[in-house]
Amino acid sequence: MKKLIQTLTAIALLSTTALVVQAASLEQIKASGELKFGLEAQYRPFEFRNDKNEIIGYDIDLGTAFAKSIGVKAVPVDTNWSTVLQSLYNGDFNMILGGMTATEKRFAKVNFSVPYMDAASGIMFVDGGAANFAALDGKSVAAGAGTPQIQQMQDCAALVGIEFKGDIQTLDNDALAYQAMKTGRIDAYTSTIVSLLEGQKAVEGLSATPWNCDGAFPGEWTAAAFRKGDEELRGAFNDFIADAKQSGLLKELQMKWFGQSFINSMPDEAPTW
Amino acid sequence: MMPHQSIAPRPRAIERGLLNVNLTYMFDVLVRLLPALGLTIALSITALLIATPIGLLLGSFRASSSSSGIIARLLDIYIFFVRGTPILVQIFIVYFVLPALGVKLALFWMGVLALVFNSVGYQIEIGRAAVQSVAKVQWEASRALGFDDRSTLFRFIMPQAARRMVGPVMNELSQLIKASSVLSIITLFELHKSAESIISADFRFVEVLVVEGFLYFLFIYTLSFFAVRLERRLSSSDGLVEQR
Repeated sequence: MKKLIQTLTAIALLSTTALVVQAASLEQIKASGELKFGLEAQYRPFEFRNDKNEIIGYDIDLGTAFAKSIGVKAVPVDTNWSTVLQSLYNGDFNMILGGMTATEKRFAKVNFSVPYMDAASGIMFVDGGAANFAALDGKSVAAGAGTPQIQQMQDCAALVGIEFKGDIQTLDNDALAYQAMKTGRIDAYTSTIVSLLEGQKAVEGLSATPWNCDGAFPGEWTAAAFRKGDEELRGAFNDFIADAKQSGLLKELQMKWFGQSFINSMPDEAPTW
Repeated sequence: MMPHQSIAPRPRAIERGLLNVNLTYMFDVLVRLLPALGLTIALSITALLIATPIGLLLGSFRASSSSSGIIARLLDIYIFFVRGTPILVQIFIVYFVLPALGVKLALFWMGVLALVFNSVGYQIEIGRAAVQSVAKVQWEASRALGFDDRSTLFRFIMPQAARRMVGPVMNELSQLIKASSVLSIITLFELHKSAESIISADFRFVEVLVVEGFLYFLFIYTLSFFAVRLERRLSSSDGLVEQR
């Protein structure tokens, strides 16, 4: 038994040291000719698959343009979102460009680029049911698994003074949540407002509204994530975003995928804590 | 400027209740799922071809060896681990712990390895049970004729045990195929992952899940069809089964 514990500890130690893999420098990426970026292609309109199984979306267009700007080919890597940080450090891809919201918890593990999209939260209600947050007292609610909205729902419930029925449920993607709402399993679901608006267009009987708990939450931003210490690649991406804002490319892509532009309200500084 | 990619036309909303399905759309989904079905078949057949000989041989060994030997005890620990932990955990161990220990495998082989690791654990028990179910007098008769244990096992016991393994192995194979859907979490674009990606692009559930389930069913049904024929063949040619 003691031996077993020793072996397990050794394995655990080895896996944590492996977390500190060398960051592929910009030079290595250029030498390999490929920029790999991690995402989960289940987040319309950021990344999803068309009917030919090709991954398309806002992040893909942006990643392709960035790769072109440093003279390499863009390779989106479809990964599992709840383990995306571990996979980044495993070396499965060079960076995360997957509609990730910059948060303090994630900042403990990765560095963020300057924001490239607004990630403000939104809330989805079933038509004819509860229509505002305070009305969710005693109701079943859900948020995306591994998203900042779970914490926000807890905080907001405490602020407003309501109690949900049971725990906040977590679902792997928005599509699951819409089905759960249509079948009456949950009464409200939170995610980013842009993805909820996409769902509202496709699924009848659900309505999305922006939600910041009456101003309690600060602005939230979508940013690319890099391994700690991989400052070279992060710097190159930041320069690219600054150029894309200037040239109108960012605005054009936002219009294409979101139908509106968020450029004027987006900060030029990378989020830190 | 970016080339404008064509965006899939947004399907109509889930507007007419849950059971109102669209057959044209379902056929469309079926075609889109076929490449991923190919990967599911490749993964599970490869895993089966590796796991079955290993599992059944180890099982026969386990049945004919004393249970106090060191190898037998290691096998028991391994079987307890496989049976006692979810395949989800086993897959994550292969995916995250092995690379940390310096073992780099292609994604496909990581998936195969996880399935083999899981399946061998169960197939050892199938092999052991089948060998032990052969009547003891067969061993005694063989020894009386002067055969040693190894040739007894391979020449007389195994042929009788083989027929009894076909059913349980087919059972295990159907479990293995369905367990391969869990490989979606390590991003293998197999049948279930492909179905999930269609669901989140189109926001349609029922039709996609029905087609996905149908494809798994078709694959497993085809295999069981052949398993039943194999079992019949083995039993008709098997003159050694003890008559009661």
